[in-house]
Amino acid sequence: MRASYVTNYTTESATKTPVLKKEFAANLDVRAKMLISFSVSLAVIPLYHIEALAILLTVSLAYLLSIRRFWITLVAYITLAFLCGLAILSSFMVSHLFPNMKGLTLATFILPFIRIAILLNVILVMAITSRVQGMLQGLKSLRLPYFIYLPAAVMIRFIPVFIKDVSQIKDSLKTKGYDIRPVFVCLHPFFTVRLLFVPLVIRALRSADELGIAAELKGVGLRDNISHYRKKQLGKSDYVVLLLTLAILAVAFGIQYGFVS
Amino acid sequence: MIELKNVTYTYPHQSEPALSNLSISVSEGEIVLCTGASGCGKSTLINLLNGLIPQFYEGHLEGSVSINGVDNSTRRISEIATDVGTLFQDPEQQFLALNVEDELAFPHEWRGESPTRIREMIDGISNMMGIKDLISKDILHLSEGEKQKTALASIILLTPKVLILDEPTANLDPEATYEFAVLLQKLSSKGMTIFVVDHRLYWLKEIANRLFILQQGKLVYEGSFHDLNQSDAFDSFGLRQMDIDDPRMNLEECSEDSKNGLTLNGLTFAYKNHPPVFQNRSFQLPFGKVIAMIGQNGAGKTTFARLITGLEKANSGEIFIEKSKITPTQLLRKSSIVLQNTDHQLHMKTVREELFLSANAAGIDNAGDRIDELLDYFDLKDLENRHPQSLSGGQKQRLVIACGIVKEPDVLILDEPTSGLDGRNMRLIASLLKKTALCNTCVLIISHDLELIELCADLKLTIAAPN
Amino acid sequence: MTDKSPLVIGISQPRKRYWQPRELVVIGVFSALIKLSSLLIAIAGGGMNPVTLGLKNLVATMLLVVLIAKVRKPGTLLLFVVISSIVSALLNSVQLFLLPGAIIAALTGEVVLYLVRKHHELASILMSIAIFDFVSRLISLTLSYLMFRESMGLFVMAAIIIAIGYIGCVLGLGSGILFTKELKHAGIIRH
Repeated sequence: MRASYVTNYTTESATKTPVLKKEFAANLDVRAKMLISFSVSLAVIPLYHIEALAILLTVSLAYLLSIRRFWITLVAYITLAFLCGLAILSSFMVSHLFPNMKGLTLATFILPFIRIAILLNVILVMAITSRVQGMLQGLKSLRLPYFIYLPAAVMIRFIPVFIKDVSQIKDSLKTKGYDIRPVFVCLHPFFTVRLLFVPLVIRALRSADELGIAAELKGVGLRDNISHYRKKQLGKSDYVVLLLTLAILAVAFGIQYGFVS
Repeated sequence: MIELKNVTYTYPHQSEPALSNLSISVSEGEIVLCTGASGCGKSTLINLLNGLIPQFYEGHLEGSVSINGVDNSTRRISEIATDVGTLFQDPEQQFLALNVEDELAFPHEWRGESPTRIREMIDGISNMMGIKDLISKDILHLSEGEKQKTALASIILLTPKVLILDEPTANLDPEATYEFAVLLQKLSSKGMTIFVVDHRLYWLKEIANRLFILQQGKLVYEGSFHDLNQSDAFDSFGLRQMDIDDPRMNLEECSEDSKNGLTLNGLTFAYKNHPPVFQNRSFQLPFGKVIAMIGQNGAGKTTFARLITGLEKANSGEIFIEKSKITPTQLLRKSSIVLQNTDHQLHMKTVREELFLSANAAGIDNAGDRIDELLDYFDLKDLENRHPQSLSGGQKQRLVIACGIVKEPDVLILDEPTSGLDGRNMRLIASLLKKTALCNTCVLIISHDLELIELCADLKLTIAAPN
Repeated sequence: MTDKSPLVIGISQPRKRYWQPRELVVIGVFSALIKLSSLLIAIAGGGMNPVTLGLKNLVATMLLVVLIAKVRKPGTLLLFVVISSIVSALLNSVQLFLLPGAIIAALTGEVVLYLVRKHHELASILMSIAIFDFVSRLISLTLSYLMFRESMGLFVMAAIIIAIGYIGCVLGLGSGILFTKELKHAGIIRH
């Protein structure tokens, strides 16, 4: 019967996640999406020219909007705006406490937020369009050594298992009379840890022992030359998007350093 | 194929041996069952056969264990594994991949096999095991029977000569158990030696060639099922029944004219973007009875349990307790649910604290007295200061049921409360459930355990699959 | 069925590796647990508030203590950091940018453990995790400065968040000891 609980949770959660197959970003290889967000995250640090950053912001926002998850996008941007408000308050307090420090100008205030928004756009695309199975495939294609690949694969394998466990623990607590909501967590942080994490850690330790033994009995980790049953090559669209990313980053740096007017 | 000679094994820091002077011999192609009450040494025996003892679990070992004519002490665990495949109780815990095909492929990728060869092997095993339709499925979405088949296929693909099965039917329904028995017969006819460790006996009676019974680490019976006296099996060895008539057919259905109890009128419920699980259905669950919930996988038994505990809210319909209409929030206070995995339900440092945790949330006055009463009632008094996670399976199960009862619920739901328990513990739980129902509680069990249903169920509630 | 499949293990002797599959599985399982616990607390705690921030770090450090107490092998902390970063990078590649800093912090913790040369003592484990947490926070502060260099207000805000997180880490060390002792008492950790 435990399986039935699982089925219900998964079907229920599946209904909450719209199918993304039609959107082009969902069909991109996980390695391509990794390269895009990694190169963008590296680029935003040295960039300080507002027009260069504005170009990246526009293109990355279009990339995010292409997956048509407008509600999540809106929530993320509202959160960012909230942080922006906190920053104004914080800057005001700092300039009040330390009058010698530079005051707030539009450029100095807005640049860090543009950087965060760019990162948010590329990260959200990855997070929303990636599926656990795709992550495992992506991980395999990175050709990592055994001692990194095995725990990383186990980590990905266990994330959905723990999500399911947490749901069961929360349900069990709810029928006992403990509803883990924000107010409860803030009023009883240590008690929350005991209620939620003790069962989870014990489950983790027991599962790890059992899975470790099973892996050993199946001969995992015996040889260096692991074969690859499924070989996934980057597709045309992956190469096109990667080239486009490089071109846009080149334009942004060109604007900053005066090569492009 | 399997040969144990005068084996005595003692775990580290223990004075008493877990297995004592054990000698067993099993031939090629035989199906044997090893059984006995909890703690008799069955798991230790499995770990000796696959080499985990003494290479993983240390300790003191005397005597010899040989598989396929080779002494285990001369080989590493991985080398022994080429002859012995082990299927543990919970197949899900053995999966490293998230997809059936990947799970079957990965041990061979680690062996450097070519993708073409792996493809051939997967095609072969999926035809043989009848899992062709499952190949592309997500492992977490499989039924328990399908998980069991997948795990077994993965092991058989490694071509072991001996197959060890630890409680293989603990999570299977009677129909899947029968299918599994047929599969084992097929494997044995191909020359595979099958060593089953299980508490459930009925499904093996017709297929096992021999039976070993262990008691406190010693072999106390070796022979056929037919030569074993049923009363010895029950009283002396604490085993389960060897013959069971399916009790589900004979139980009376919950009728709609029960005077007091839980009433659900015009219930309609559907998960978002899914067809309804229940459409304008009515149910009546009387108090003071143990009710077995019957239905195929996917019929909606779990959804029903979630609705009557208040964990899920119906789209329409009304729920009454003795003619008073109640809301899902009120239902949460009046019901308890005991899940199959006891580890998920134990949070505190001692057994007593665990009961206090449940009592405090329910606002029970004089919780101390009530807890003392329950500790006696569930035979846990001597263990009240023990850490709940250090208890045996049967003790943990009794504790989680006690935690469910401490708030004096009107409805108590138990999900597979006796899976993996020996005969003695199963009978103890059955009698406790009957006693609990007598306190005017509606006890609802979701279980595949035919013996439990036979022992304690008064009525059945059939949940039909939605059209 | 599979008659042709070669039994590779029986033919060639596998070499003994430094990391056994069971140790790697424990590290993988705990990396998932630590990652998920942060997410869970953030959701259950209603987003970003000081209690949630502190609690997130408390639980992460507490679980890290349990992991290292369970595996007790030099390199565990470093491997944990590397695989957590790689898997996070599959969802959020910005994590790769943080990887060098995390490796430096983990290496510092490992060096401390090496110098103390007592992998089996809980005190040494605590010291290495304490140093790892401290160096991680220093690196986070530096990165925050680079990111928000034009606006000191934002940097101060980031510094406050990092400080609250660090308080959580310190409390997590204490909780980690207590929890490890409890798991030993329950017979779940046997060292």
